[in-house]
Amino acid sequence: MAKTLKKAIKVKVKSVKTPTSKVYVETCQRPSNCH
Amino acid sequence: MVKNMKAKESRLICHELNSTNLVVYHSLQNQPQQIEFEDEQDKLVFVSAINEGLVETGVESVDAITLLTDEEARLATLLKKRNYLSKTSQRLNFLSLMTAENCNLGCSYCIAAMNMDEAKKNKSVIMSWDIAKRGLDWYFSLPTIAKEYYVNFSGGEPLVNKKIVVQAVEYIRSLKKDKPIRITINTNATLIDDDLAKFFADNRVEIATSLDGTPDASDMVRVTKKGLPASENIISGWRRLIAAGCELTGFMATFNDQNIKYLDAGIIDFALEMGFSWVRIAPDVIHLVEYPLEDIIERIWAVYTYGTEKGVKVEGFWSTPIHNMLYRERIPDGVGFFCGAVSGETASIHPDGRISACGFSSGNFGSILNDEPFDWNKHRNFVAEYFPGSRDFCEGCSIEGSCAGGCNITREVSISTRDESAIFYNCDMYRELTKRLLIDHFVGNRLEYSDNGSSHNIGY
Repeated sequence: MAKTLKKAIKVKVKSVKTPTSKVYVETCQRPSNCH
Repeated sequence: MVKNMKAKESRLICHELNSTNLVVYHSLQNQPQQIEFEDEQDKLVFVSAINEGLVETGVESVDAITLLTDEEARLATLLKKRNYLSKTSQRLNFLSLMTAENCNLGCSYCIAAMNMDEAKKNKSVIMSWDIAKRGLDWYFSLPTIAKEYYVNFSGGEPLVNKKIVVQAVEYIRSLKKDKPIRITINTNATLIDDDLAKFFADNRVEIATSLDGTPDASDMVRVTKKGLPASENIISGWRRLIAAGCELTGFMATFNDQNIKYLDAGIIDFALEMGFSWVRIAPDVIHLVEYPLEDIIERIWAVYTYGTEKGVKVEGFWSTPIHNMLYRERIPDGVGFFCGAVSGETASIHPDGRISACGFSSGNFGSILNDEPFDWNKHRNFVAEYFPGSRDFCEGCSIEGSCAGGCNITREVSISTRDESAIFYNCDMYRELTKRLLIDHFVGNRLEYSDNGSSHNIGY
C-alpha cells in the first residue's frame, strides 16, 4: 500500500516485541461454544 | 464507564505497561506489539506524537501501523474483504443439525428461547430423518477449503430427539470422505445413560456441555421446566460420559442477575475437583444484566487470574477480540470475525428445513427442502456485513478490528426487542477485558494455547 505523503514525526524506540504465542487454536468461534 | 464513545476514525491505541514500555496496536488493523523506550521521556514523546499525527520509528512492524492514515487502514480492510468474500462459498465447514428445538430444561437466559417458541408455534419441534439426511448430503456435497468437516448437534436439547442423533452419527461414520469428520454435540447431559455414553465414545462424538458456575450457582438458573435444580443430573451425565471414555475436560457457564454474585474462584476449585482444565464463563449475551458492569468485569478478571495460576484456562465471549488480535489474524487468510457463523463457516438446519448461519438465529438462507437449498448471494452479503471494519456502529471503537460487531444473536434480539442495552453492555465489557488481556499477554506471557483437542475447541 502506498504510504501517505503527510509528514511523520520521528521517534526513537529501543526494542519491539510482537505477540509471543506461536500456536494458534481457534476457540469461541462456533455455536458449540455458545450456551 | 464511558458508553459507546464514537470517534469515527481508526487510530492507534496505547496501553502503558511501565515507565518505559507500551503496548501499541491499531484499532482496525490490530498488529499488537510491545515497544520499549530508552527512558520515560522518549515514551512520552511517542504518545504525544501519535496524538498529533503520523509517527516514524524506523522499525518496520511499528511503522506499519504508526504511519497508517484512517483512509489507508480502511482501504486495506476493503482489499482484504474483497479477497475473503471471493471464497465465501468454499468456507462452510461446520453443519449444525438442530435435531430438537425443544428442551427438558428451562434456563432463564436461554439463547435458543426465541427459536424454540417459534418452532412450537409452527409445530416443527422435532427434526425428521428426511431433513437430517438431506442436510448431511447437501453439506458433504459442498466444496470446502477447510482441512476437516464438522457436524454438530444442537437445539434446544438435541437428545430430546435422540433417535435422529444416533441415526445421523451412524450415517456420518459410514461415509467415506477424503477429510476427517469431527462430530460434536451441545448437550445439557441430563439425558445421557450408560449406553448412549458408550455410543458417543465409540463414535468419537465430542461433547460440549454446561453448568452455570458451581452446582449451587448453577441451580439458580439452570433448572428443569418446573424450576427444580438440575446440577445433580448434569454432573451424573458427565460422570457417565467420562466413565465411558468420552473426553470431557471443561464446561461452559452463563451468568445473569440470578447467579452472577456467585461467580468467583469457587468455579475454578470445582473445575479442578472434576479434573477439568478449562472453563468458559460468559454473562448472558442477549439480555441486559443489571448487576454493575464494573463488578462483573472484576469477577471475571478474578476468575481468569486465579484460573491461570491454577492451570485452568478461562475464556468466554469476552476473550474473542484478544484471540483474534493475537492469533487468528496471524494465520494465512485469517480474519478475526466474532464467530464462525458470521465468518461464513457455519450453517444450521432447523427441524422445518430452514437454514440459518447460527443455530440460534431467526435468519433464513433457504431450505433444505428446496432444489437449490442455499442462497449464496444472500449469505455472502451477510458475511460482508460482519466483516471487521464494516459496521458503522463500531467505527472508531478501540477493538473495531478484533471484535467485529460481537454476537449476531445479541444484535438480532436487540432489533426484535428494540432494546440495545445488552449490546452496549457487552461492548464496554469486551473493551475493558481486551485491554487487560492484552497487557497480561505481554507482561505475563499468558494466553499460551496448545492444540490439545479439548472439547472447548470443538468446532475448531
